[in-house]
Amino acid sequence: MNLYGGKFKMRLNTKFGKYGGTYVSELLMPALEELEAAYIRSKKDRKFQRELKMLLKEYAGRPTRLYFAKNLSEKLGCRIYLKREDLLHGGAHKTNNGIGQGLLAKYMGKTRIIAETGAGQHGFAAAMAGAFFDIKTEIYMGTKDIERQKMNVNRMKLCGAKINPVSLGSCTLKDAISECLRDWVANVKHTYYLLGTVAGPHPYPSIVRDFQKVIGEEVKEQILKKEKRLPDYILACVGGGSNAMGIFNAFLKEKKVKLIGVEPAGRGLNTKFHGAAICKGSPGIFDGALSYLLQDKHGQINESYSISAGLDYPGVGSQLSFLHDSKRVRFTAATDKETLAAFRLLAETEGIIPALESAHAVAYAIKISKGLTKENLIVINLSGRGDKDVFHAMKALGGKSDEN
Amino acid sequence: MKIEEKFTELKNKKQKAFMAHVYYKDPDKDFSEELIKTMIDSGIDILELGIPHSDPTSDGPTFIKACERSLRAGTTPKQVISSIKKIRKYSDIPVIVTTYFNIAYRYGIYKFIKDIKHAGADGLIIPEAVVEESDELLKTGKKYGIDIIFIIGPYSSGIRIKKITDNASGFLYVVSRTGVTGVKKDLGIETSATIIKIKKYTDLPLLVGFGISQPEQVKKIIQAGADGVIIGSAIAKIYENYIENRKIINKEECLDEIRKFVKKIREDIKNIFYQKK
Repeated sequence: MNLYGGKFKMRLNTKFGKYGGTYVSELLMPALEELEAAYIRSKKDRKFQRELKMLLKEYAGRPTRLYFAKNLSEKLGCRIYLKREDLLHGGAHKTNNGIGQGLLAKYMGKTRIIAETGAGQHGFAAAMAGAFFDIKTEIYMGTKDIERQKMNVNRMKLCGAKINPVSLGSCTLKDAISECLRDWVANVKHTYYLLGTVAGPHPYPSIVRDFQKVIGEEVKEQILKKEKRLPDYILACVGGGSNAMGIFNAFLKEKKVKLIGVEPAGRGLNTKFHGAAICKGSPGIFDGALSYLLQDKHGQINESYSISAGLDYPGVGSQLSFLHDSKRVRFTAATDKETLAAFRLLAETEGIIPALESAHAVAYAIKISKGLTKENLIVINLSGRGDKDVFHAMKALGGKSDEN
Repeated sequence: MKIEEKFTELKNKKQKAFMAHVYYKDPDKDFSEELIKTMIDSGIDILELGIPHSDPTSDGPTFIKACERSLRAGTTPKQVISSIKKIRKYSDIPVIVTTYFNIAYRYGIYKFIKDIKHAGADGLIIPEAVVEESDELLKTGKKYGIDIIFIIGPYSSGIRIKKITDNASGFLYVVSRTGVTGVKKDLGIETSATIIKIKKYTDLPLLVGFGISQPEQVKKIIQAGADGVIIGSAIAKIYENYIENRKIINKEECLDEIRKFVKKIREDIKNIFYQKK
């Protein structure tokens, strides 16, 4: 398939308010136009939608459970449900997007997939898609992340993906994205860039949201069945923000449901060591879009920090930036310490080990539970499982794990 | 000198343009200023002066390192803009500021363009400023007489080229191959076809850049109908060999090598053009 030299131009609105857009090299514009055209076509294409639905059900294991966390609820004094994206094949919500975009790449006739990864969950989802759809896949990953997410590196390798270590800048997710953009711009004709989050240039924020919005749609159905009403709060961790957009999207118009995004406060919002782009950043242009961003007064990008590699990113999705300004979503942050405590609490009360990313949302549930009663209903997006973090978390918990 | 005047002058002299791209204050102020003087003395026609960025996504390894070194030297956008005033005292060749979008956005696009104009710049290149995102740049550029230079690549469609050329002034930055900046031995096979395609839409001069360092490439580009070449990483590659502990060693030898390289390219461009006539 050769769509180049054709008549493409952007047909959809590329922005959410002032956020988003296509701040990329002209060399990538034809590819983004081609991608947008394919995305619009795929939404109307019944065969595509049927195939996607079948794969999400039979291969990935959707719908995932909305589990009433009885023990945690008793402990915290309110009703807490966990959306078990951690039980999805692959171990995180990233699979929804990996399969979706992998299928899109196949329909577009692309012969090579590239993807960035932080925690390795998206990298694994891309590697999985590459293996499943039989498309050669290369993953860019910062050397710092390779070090702290070894298990996922090996999982990607087992699926036949090639890992390209990135030792530029902070050696984390943002640098992996930069390298992906450089690779894509050089190999744009045959390569599909499988972006993992709701950030980046249009149409990615819309594509990734649409492949993730199934999470919120299921939650809505499930909670109405179980509780006969909508929840008071929905909590999700926010790095780039794909699991948050995924669970929030179906509730954007349900004004009574409080949507809360939890950013990584790292060692504290008053230190330099955090990744809270919305809580502590300002609007700027980065990775192809206008969004909230951690930057210095000259517009140089600041390095982010988080105990969880998946949230260690100085930017955030453009739609979430917009939803912050319009006050539909409230953003807050949880520190590493609070996150580790939540990680442990969930393991001890429910026997569920969350990803450190998702543990940020649990941490905030602990915090707000103090002002809530048994009547209050909270849904937490448990976006991923913590197997990948066990070693890293045990080390961070240090001697404390032996004290009790 | 305005960009347009430069191209008229070159045309009258039956010459093609040579634009050199450097990141300011790499690795330090003194060397950078001497480097710029050396290049001007050796015959470049246009200077592309870069403000470094922490995440230069359109740049390859050589310029990524250049940005890092410049930022470690504490470079700020204001310093680069002030340096134009100094260059202006030395030469009247067109100076084009190049930087990433967030630098100008953070500075305030209106103020940025106003300030570079007052310092003496003639144009602005922002690699991620595709025509769709350039309304404010174009409006302010027009007001202050700063040409907004757009990039066109081998896969830009006719519709896109038209949209770009309808808004562009100064010249067009034609990228000879897909990818990032950096020295490559070969040239994109699409170069000639791209130039012919763009010429259907515009009379603006076309300068070809990305990956150019060899006389053979320069020859092919000029013969394909371009109005000049842009060379950047090849120059940084020469002086990075002289950097030790963030300082240039054997400065005279280094500048001499650059002088020879720039003069050679200048001669090559001249000779090719005369051969053709």
